[in-house]
Amino acid sequence: MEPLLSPLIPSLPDDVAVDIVARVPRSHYPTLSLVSKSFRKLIASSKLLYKRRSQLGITQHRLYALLRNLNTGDFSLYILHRKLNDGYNRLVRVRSLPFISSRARGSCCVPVGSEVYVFNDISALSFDCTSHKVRCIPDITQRMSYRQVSALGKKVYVIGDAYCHYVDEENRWSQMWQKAVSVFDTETQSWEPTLVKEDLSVGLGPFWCDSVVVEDKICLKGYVNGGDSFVYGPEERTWEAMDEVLNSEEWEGACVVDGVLYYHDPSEKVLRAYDPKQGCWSVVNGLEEFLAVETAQSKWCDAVSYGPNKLALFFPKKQYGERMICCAEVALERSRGGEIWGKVEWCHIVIGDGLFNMVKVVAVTV
Amino acid sequence: MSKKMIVLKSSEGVSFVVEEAVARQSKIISFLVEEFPDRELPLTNMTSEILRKTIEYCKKHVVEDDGGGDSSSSSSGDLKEWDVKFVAEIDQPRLMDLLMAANYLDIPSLLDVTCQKVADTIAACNDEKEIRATFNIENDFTEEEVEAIRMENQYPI
Repeated sequence: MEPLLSPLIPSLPDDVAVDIVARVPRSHYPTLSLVSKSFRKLIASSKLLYKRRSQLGITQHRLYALLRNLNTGDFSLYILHRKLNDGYNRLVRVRSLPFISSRARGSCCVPVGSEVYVFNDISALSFDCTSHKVRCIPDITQRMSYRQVSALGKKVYVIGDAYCHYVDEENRWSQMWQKAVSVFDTETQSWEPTLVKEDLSVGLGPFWCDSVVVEDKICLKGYVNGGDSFVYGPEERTWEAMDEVLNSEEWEGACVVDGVLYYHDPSEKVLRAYDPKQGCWSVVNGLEEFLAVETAQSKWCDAVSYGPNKLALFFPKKQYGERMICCAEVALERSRGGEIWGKVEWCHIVIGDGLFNMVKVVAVTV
Repeated sequence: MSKKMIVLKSSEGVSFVVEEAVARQSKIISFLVEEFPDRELPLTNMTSEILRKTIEYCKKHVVEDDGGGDSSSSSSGDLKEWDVKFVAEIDQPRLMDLLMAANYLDIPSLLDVTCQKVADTIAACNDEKEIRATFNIENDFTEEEVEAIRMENQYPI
């Protein structure tokens, strides 16, 4: 370690102080860099801290948001910084992402460990959240439309409609749209050789508005009320109709925390929870007043799992005639009776001017 | 069977009689006990108060090997809870002293909980001014430098 200017913390040896800083959540580092020159130098030489963090086995969840600038059409990744300068949590631009189709939706973006993968119509790329570097990865082997991208372990499953060739009953070559699953292995950084065609349906669709992973299966929620929702089991490659109860709510922008699915119901202004073990929906207690006020005009609200017993809600809000995006961190707890209670830890305007479309928020572990 | 006891002496000259197994959680004491058996160990840089706290921690964490060995996972959870309470009750200056004691005596688990507590204290500060005030850190930046860093932090590439 290079000699530092003055001790980081008076009365403590610097190696102990480094151990302490390594334990402070990374989102506080911008504030720490303002404490003194010694702190500034330590934070800037992030290698030392990262090394110490990995030795200590410290990983944490950080939120990244993919936003689209409505004026320029550019996509950029933002990071949620805690207590930046004025004590508020903010989305801060990390870098713009090139080669993203203007049609890109949240369903093309998925976190795997410390990386974010984006599979859109014109490219495939990964973003390393420890170095903030973008890497292009080999594009999907076959054109696919209406994709839903999900991650299970180290593998990314791209499920969508592929234009497939086949031989019909009268031995003629023909082409048609068919559901297909393409698998990208993030460990080998390659696509699995075979595109799995699924005999789920012929023609385009069904179309899905959201997907989540529950109990190692990918739940694909249909746009249309009822029938078009499926559960895909990647292990045995099974397709099942979604459980009726799970499908009975029109969930979108959902996330899974400790095995329970959560989503914000915009019509009732409540946070609903589905516990697959009990097979029933419930309303998260303790948030009624907060959601009624804060999300009153919100057309959408995305939930993202943010570590154990914690989720973050992102939603738009209008204030003084301006559009802005708010974020609320909600701590979840189960009472003895089995009810789920939520507590808002904080709620801040995380990005101010109404220039942005929220494409997707993901939690990565770094 | 009587347990072997050793004597630790604080900076004020106060003697603490401790079971050897308890004190051996400190790697330094473990070493000293072997080098100088049957001697009082003077810990001249530790006050009685901090030494008492350190011993309290070690007593709680000593691994009983005569209990028949049925240590369940819930007890480790209880221990964690106890640790949290233990450091929560200590004020800032004493916490730093305790951390230094853990570092000096080489008690990894105590160093771990005290470092974590200090890290939590830093994370709970609202801004850099509060961090400086809490830890007596001098601000060696000029106004211009602070502004430059703020600008940089807006675009952390």
